[in-house]
Amino acid sequence: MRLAMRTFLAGARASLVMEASDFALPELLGTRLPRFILQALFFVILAYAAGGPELARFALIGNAMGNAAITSLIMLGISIEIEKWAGTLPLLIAAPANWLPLMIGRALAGYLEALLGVVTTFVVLTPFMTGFGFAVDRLLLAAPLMLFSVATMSGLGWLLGSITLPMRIGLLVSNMVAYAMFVVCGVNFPVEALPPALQWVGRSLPLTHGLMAIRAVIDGASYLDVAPLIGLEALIGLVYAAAAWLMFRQRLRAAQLTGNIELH
Amino acid sequence: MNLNHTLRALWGSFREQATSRATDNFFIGTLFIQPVLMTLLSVGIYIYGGRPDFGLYAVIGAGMIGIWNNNLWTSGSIVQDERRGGTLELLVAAPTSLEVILLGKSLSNAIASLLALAITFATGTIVYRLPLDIENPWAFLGALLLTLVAMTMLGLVIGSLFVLARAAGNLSTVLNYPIFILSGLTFPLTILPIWLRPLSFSLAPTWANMALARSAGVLADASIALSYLALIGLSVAYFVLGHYLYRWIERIVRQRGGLEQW
Repeated sequence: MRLAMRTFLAGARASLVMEASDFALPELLGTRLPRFILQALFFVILAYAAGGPELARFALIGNAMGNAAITSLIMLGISIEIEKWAGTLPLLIAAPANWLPLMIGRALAGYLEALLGVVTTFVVLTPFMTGFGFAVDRLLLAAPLMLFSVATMSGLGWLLGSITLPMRIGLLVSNMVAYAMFVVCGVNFPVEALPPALQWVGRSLPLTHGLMAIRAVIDGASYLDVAPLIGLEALIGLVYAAAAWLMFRQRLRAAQLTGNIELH
Repeated sequence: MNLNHTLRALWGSFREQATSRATDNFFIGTLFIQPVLMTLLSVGIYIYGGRPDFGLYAVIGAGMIGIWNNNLWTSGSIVQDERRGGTLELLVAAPTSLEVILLGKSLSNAIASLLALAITFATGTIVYRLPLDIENPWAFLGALLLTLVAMTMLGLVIGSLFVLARAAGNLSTVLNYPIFILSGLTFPLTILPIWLRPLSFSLAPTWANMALARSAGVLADASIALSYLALIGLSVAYFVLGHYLYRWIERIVRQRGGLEQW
């Protein structure tokens, strides 16, 4: 257990250090955070044009959370890709340490960046939502659910990273899945508005039920009211995490057997 | 350098850009997948909001987003790729001006980016069964050609600026949404505060979007002739700006002899 904790902390430290070196404060303030805000603003204006203040409010919650959850997805997917680029993946595979706590630790910087994005988006854009804004206490009450939804996305990110491990398109696939989730997960309009087949896709992905629960809590529901949605979100997150674990294990085993991981 | 040499350099850089792009996964994703998703999103929002009449406008806006994305992303990456490959210094030092190379590559990007519009129209027709009749096809074609020229010239400005910006990739991602918003891509400009209008009118995507939408039969109050004139004027302005900007940047980097420090 102590060893697993040490591995987790090592992964967390590595992810934070890499994040800090990749995104120094000027870059975070000049590119990452503005992108969170501006992307949400674009869809809020579009929603306002299409459906008025109510749809704009819907889009603000959806995009603030959607951006955050997708950051978590991409960060975990890309953490596998980065090891590949840096040539350290064979070393990780050969190391005796358990890679599961390491992978969880590697997701930490993604969670932090995602949460920073949610907070910044709400803080900057809520004052402009005159007449159809949010009660601060309801937003704070929904905060644990936001963290929870960000976490449930990690399983999918890890799964995508594992699937694309032998390919060179990991980042592209993560990005495109993330964009597609903006369409099918009820980020900008309710899932019910989609064609039935796409509704089914949306409901089988993480984020969809978490987002429904977050919206309900912001609008006044209690955690007990949204317990079924939270349960579904947790279940879906676990299913993806389990699939990712199996896929990653299979990939690593194949890499150890063939010894050709550097070729990917 | 005579005209023949310039044309050869233009063609060479055009062809090189086309070839390298064809093998670039990100380009393929940006050009072929993103326009589909953006159309699904923007038209879906209008349909859910009870405004299906804005479907064609959203399709054109999503197409312009694809065109802009491809230009900004690929024009930004022209310089970034040369820098990463260690060939930027050689290109600046070569007797053929880097400006000509940037122009050829930007033109290649702009032509390829027009595919995005075809993809958004196809998505709108197939997924949402939208009636996407173009009211005035010749005017639409004229708008497309002027958009192509304006985007090429804008690519020249962006490419020149990115010579001095190591964070070109990050800048590309953050510059996208302000342009979408200011240009009214997928929503009417009238929804924005009036004081933003001068900024909107200084951007080619605004006029390109208006020209395309008006010739397609939406935006009845917009003038095609005015949009054409604005696109021509902005193309000239971007070219002059890009030319002098490049000369200025080239002088700085030659004087300091330290291009790699940027």
